Amino acid sequence: MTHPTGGTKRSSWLTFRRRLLLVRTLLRSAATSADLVAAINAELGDQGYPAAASAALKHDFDALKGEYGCLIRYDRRTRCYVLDDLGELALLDLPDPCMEALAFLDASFPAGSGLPEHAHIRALLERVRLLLPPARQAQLRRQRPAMRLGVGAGARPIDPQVLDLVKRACEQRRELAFDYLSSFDIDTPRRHRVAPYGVTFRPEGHGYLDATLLEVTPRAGEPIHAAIDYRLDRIVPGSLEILPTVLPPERIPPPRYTLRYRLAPQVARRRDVASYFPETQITYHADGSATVTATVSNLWQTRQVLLRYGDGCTVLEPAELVALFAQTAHGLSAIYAPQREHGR
Amino acid sequence: MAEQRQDHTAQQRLLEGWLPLAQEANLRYGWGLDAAGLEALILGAAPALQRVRSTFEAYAILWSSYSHAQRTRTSP
Repeated sequence: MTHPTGGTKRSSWLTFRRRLLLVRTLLRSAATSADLVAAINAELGDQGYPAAASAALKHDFDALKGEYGCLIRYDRRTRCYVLDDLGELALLDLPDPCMEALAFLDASFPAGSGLPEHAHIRALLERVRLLLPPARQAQLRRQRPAMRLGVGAGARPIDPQVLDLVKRACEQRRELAFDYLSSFDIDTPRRHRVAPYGVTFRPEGHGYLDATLLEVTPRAGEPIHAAIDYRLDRIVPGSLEILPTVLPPERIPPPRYTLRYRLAPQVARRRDVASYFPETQITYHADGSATVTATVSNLWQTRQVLLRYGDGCTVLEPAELVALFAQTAHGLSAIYAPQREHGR
Repeated sequence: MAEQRQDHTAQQRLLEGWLPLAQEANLRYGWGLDAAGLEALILGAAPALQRVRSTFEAYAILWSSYSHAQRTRTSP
């Protein structure tokens, strides 16, 4: 017994599936016709395109444009097909709170600034936008979000090759060597060999490599095995080298310090002091002041955090951090004391 | 000559990275290895250590390498 319509149904379903696969492949990235044929055939096997596929491919593109309103163009320079608009195939719709979240991300991570580009956030947002129906896309363009994340956009750009090698070294758990110009190096960068662990972007917009120092040439007082945040834009492009040494899965333990500082009543009297460090314990005193204890491993970073309190914070230990603050205070005094005397 | 120096440097770096973990295993399992013994243990296990994904796996490799070395030493 035969089913006269079975073959047609099956063939229509295959055609539809092939076209959806084309769209899915183009959503991933622009692609040459050979890439597209290979992707379809990898999925559908011998039910994919025939050997001479160009006519069938063109037919599918025409159908996607005509039947679903997809905008697919051929880029002559790259010889790739690019999907500009999904037309009727824009199947993703979102509830209003999610649209608001999308607008929030869109405003917080604008195109052209460091972090969104490096973390591919813009690429993700553009893709999600492409998946929305035209009316929702228009709504997103009109939306003026009241909330946004304050991520600094004025940071110096990070060399893409630097970021790429740093990410690769972290993923492969391999030592990394590079020339680095720290705040204390006047004009000659020094060679650092480190165990890299990850990249962090801070609210001011700078990207940092979190690493353990293994060697620095020439030495300038940095403690070996200290946890250091290296600003990525200060790593000299072209100087990075991923070394063959594979690191253990667990981080080389950095020196740990017990931190103790006192916050003046004007900072602590509301009893809502922030916990910035691991193992933070806060004791509030009757006079409105507070004593905070915690454990830290990066004294430089700790100083940066505590400086926000200005003279409302007195560091009590460790001695190394007290010395760093004394140095900072001395520097600040050298800058401002003459002015103060001058003004009298 | 330069190649030998490079090998030596690579070996030193490998030991520098893995010694704390090997020392931890030495204490944990009571092997009583001295510095030279720990270095030999790391160098023997190095190819496998470079592929581990977790600290637990690293301990297992070191333990197996230590056991193998003990068996080799005691067998006639």
